[in-house]
Amino acid sequence: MEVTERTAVRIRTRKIKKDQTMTKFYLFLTLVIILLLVAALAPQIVPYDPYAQDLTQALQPPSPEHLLGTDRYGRDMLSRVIMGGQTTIYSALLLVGIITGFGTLVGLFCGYQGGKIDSLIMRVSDVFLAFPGMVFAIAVAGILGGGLINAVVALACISWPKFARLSRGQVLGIKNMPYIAAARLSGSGSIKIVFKHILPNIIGPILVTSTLDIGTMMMELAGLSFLGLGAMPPIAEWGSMMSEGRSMLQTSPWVILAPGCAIFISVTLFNLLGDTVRDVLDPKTNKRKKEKK
Amino acid sequence: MNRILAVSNLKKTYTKGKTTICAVDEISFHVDKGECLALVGESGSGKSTVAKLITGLESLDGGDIILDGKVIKNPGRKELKRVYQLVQMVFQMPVDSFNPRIRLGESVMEGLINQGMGRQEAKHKAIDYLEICGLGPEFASRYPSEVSGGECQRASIARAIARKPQLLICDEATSALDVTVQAQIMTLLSQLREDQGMSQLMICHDLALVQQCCDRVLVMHQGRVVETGTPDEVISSPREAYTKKLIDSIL
Ligand SMILES: Nc1ncnc2c1ncn2[C@@H]1O[C@H](COP(=O)(O)OP(=O)(O)OP(=O)(O)O)[C@@H](O)[C@H]1O
Ligand SMILES: [Mg+2]
Repeated sequence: MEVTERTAVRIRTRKIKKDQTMTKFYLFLTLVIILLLVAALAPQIVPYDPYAQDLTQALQPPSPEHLLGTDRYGRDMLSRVIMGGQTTIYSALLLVGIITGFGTLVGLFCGYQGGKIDSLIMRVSDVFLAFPGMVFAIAVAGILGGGLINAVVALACISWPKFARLSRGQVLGIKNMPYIAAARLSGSGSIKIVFKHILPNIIGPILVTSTLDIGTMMMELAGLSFLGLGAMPPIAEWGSMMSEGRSMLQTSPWVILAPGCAIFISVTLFNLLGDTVRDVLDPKTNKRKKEKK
Repeated sequence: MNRILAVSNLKKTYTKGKTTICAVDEISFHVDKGECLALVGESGSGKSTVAKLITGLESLDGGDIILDGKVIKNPGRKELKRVYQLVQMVFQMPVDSFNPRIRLGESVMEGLINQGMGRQEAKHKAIDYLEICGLGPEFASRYPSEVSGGECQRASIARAIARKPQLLICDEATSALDVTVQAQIMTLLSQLREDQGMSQLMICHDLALVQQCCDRVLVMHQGRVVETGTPDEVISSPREAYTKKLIDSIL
């Protein structure tokens, strides 16, 4: 009697916990979607033209007309932050998409194939991982010259090995499972085995890592722009906007605080989403382990 | 040629650090067409390893495999595809031998589609074969984690026989089944032998079952074949001391 009651309580708490993570997941997902929508519709929703200069309005503090004030050319900060969101967020998404896709493919190939090519590619990726990422990205972006695309390329060059390592490890973990051998006995070729049997079983952790990486990549892209190696000035981009406001931190703090807060909020949002995605994907494995015991 | 499989001096060693295990040590045997050969032996005697060597899942360290008159030596992926038209295996771990993210029916279908069958036809065939193995149509849409070990084992048999192999290797294919279902599967297997002339290599622990269903039996011990003969001969008058011990302990 008591035992069943206790089990019931345990099941109930587990259910509540699961409900909570789902609620959190939907909350953060909604917020992220709003953020993405704002960024996507930026040209339509900006109150002022983010590129229109009006020197009579330069460096106005926040007011009802200009909610976030204006910068030194008299451009409306709110419009620039919204417009900058489009540049920053979508380049970060593009970057994460590239490194996730490319890194995962490389990892799948190396893990499944093994042998000399595998060791060679893994040594190369070791070299990339051994360098402090940002320093290397600065060097690459410096060689390629400024520009947003070049910054994305530079960061992609140094960030794919992480995903290659991750997916390779996952592949090694399951490629000797009997169900892979069974698929081979069923006459399936390597491509079918890799994409039908291996990839779906390893995609979870990869997706979690890439969601968590969106925030990091956004910071690094903004960082490169801040250093003048990313987006070039007239383009509204959070990193370069902060860089412009750097010298006015004491006199007109809103010029640097507005894009700074925008970066902070969106990085936090993406990281929270990444965390909850992990919580949503994980309980399954946790539950199974517990049931086995 | 009335031999589907002949192996000679088969050898496989595993090296773990400094220790070397000779899992299969110079084994030779053959399986005739339409014959059922049993492979018995204690745990760790190398039975599963023999099965993996024949199916090319492990590489040979020595010896020859002649399958349907052709020598199979370090087969490439192309050649293995040909081998898998002839040979199918029921794995020892039935649950692990199904992709956890793919429904059982889909897994059975995969082998048929790879033989060039259309999706619709393969679907019907998959359900038919699951039915033959005693699983209703609802099992086709279940995931491996949603069925019992025995049900998974039957799905595994369905997957293997659906491809109509000439040689079926069953690695303890009935170990998780109760006596009635086991009898049902054994009848099915003997039917397949008679109707299709399928040959079978049964890796088995149950000597009573071997006596009932198999034509010949090989006794393995520490990677070697220690005794061979008809089940009656081996069980009633074992020549080797080891076989005697094995029979005493099992019966
Ligand atoms: N991948 C491997 N690496 C190292 N040793 C292995 C490997 N696979 C099998 N062995 C060893 O080879 C020997 C034979 O193993 P095998 O699986 O063939 O035994 P078995 O006869 O099928 O036993 P069981 O009846 O328990 O299934 C065992 O001693 C085992 O430890
Ligand atoms: Mg075994």
